[in-house]
Amino acid sequence: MRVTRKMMVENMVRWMFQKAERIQEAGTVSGSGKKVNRPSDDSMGAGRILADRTTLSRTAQYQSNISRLGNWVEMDNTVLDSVYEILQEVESINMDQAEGDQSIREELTASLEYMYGQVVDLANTRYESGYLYSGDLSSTRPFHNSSLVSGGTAQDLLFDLGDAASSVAIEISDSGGNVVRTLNLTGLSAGAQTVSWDGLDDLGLAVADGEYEYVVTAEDASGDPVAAAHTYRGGAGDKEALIGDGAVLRINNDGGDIFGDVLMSVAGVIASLKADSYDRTAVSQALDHVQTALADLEMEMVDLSGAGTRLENASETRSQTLLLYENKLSDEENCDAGEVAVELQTRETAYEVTLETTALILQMSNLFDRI
Amino acid sequence: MVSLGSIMNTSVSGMATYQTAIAVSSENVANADADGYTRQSVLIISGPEVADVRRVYDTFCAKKVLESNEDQGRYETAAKYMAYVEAVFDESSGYGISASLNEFWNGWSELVNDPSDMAARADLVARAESLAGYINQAALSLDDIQKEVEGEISNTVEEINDLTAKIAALNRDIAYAEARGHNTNSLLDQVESLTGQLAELVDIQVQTNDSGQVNVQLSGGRSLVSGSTSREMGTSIDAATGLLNVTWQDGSGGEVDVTGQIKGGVLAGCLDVRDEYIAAYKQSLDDLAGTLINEVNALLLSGYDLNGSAGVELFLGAGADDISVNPLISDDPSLIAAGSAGPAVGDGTIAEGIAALSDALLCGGGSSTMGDNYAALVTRVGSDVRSISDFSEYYAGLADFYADCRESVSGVSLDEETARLVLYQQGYEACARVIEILQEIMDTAINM
Repeated sequence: MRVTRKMMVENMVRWMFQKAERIQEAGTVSGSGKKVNRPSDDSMGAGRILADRTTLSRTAQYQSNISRLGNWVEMDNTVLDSVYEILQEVESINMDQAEGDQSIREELTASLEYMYGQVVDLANTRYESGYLYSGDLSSTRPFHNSSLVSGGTAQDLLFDLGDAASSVAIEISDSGGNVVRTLNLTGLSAGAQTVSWDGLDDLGLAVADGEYEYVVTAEDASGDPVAAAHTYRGGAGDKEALIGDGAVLRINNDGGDIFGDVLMSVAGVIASLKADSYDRTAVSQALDHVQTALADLEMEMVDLSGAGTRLENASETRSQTLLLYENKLSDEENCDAGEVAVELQTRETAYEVTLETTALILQMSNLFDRI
Repeated sequence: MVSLGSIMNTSVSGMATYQTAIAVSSENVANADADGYTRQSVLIISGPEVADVRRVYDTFCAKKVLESNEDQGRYETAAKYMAYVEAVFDESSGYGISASLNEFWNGWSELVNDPSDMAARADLVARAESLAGYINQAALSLDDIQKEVEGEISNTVEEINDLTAKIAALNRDIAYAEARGHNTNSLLDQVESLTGQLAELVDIQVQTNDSGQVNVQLSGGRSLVSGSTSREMGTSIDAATGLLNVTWQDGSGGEVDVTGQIKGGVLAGCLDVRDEYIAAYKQSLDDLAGTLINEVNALLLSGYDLNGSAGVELFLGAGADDISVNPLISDDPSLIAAGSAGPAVGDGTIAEGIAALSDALLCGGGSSTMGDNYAALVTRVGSDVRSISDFSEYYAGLADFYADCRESVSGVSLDEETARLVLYQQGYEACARVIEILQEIMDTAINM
């Protein structure tokens, strides 16, 4: 083949550019530490990397959700444990002692009323920006016997009756503890009650705006006390979190469901002890109710424990996934520094060889020099 | 007896011949590095006389050079623009549509933990804005590249017209020179150079007639240069797509749309990028944006916000160009309808549903999630860019090969010319010497 000098030089120039480009490519990989710097470097790899990053990101979020719910569960456990203890104390009162002595009964009653209050407080436990046990109405306090008066309008008074009551007295007090109004009702059946208040005091004057507490005292036809407990004001619903793909963990936080019966059962014991003449059967029945409430509460705690275990397992699995994908991504994305350094060196050498060859060709003498 | 006169004539003729030969060789030497120069060689026949100064030229080689120019032009241009397109989809930094889509879904997952949390809501709005932003950016960048390509199409058509006009003018000059018996080699070199440049821009057929004039047609047969007339190409805006069509003037006032017949050169490269690649990628982005907008909004509209009111849309717009976050929600994140029933601030049912969309097979006719669909798009872009880049390298190599072939036949070898120059010079000197001897003989004869 006929070869001219122009051909030789142009070829060498092409080779120089090509070798230089290959050095630049190796340099980019070395500098970034990444095998795939552009989708075209490895199109399948680029797609896989994105998919893996998605899995990693989502799993990290699940882990965070699990952790948050875990804190919630701890709080829930603590509260339920405390309520359980209180209920156990209630269950263990000595009926024989109570039978004999009026003053002992009075002491017991006071003590039980205090414990009732404790349960209400525990049921009203706050968490983050809301309440632990209000279901989906998380900013509503679950249990309170109070009515807000605003612009002259008073909220309805809500309470639950354990039995039908032939007469009910509701004492409404202001923030200073002064009774401003007493409402008397008759012939109420058992269950949830809604009583409206016109916002007037006993003298028929409108009370000032503010929050008013009320106390309910109920009696049946024979004059014996009827149990009156707080009404649950929260909503239905669960506390939930996404702990995995399509996996939602739900935990019951409906205060009415959890504490409604507990409160009523304690109120029932209080009512039975407050009767003028001691009725052992009534007290016994009330204590049976407490036992039932205890059993139900235990079930609730078992469920919670189950949820806690599920959370732990989910956390473990998510951790493993995180580790797996972190390693997978590292393999896919990162280059081996040693390998790259060697490759870069090889290409630099190739370039130098090309330079030398070009120099040689350029310096070749021609026929003219020799004539 | 041979007359002294005729010997003289032969020698003088010889000197003239060698002088011409030296001139041709010198011209070769002077033009050794000139691009597109075809070396000339003299044919000396007995006389002696120069029978021909011919261009040393291989027709097959020339044809292959044109073809490889077309392919190289096409894929080099495509590769150039595809590199920009690739940058739009490059998420090696960790930022981009895929990452922000992940963050968006995570934001809903987080909201389920406490739907009443205003901070989580505000954060979710920020993530939605970020996602919409990245999608907008990708669509706009593709639009920008498309505009560049359109610009190049316009410019290339103008260049084509410029070249065809020049070739037509050269054809006229060649006819004139031929008629007067002048050497047309330099004109022929110019024509070859121009057709080479033209082939880089658009795929053509070239025929050369005996006198060296060149006729050029588009691959479909439509004439660009015929003798000394040239036909122009142009552009027109397509009513349906709003993009440029490439047209050809048929000579009787009509403009014919030839866009579909262009298969080589810069024009084809531009059309490939614009119509095959960018159009498809834009469609994919629009589909993704559309699905996102519709699915998220549908769920929100069926739910209730923190205030108990019916939900409003999170995303406005219909596609990748105009997806944006509803300013009502940006201003007041409490309007995000996370719950499915009434004023229940702790209800995150809708938020759960939206978080679950990340796994839903809503794309690819029910075969992939939105995230997977985008990852598949990135893979596709990467593999398209790779394949064009590979073609570009291959055809560049092929073009170099045929350029070498041409150079091998038509290029000047200084060593070869040097040898010839020495030969002709010695021939010239030999003839001169003969004339000297003749003079001496004639002197002797005269002085007898």
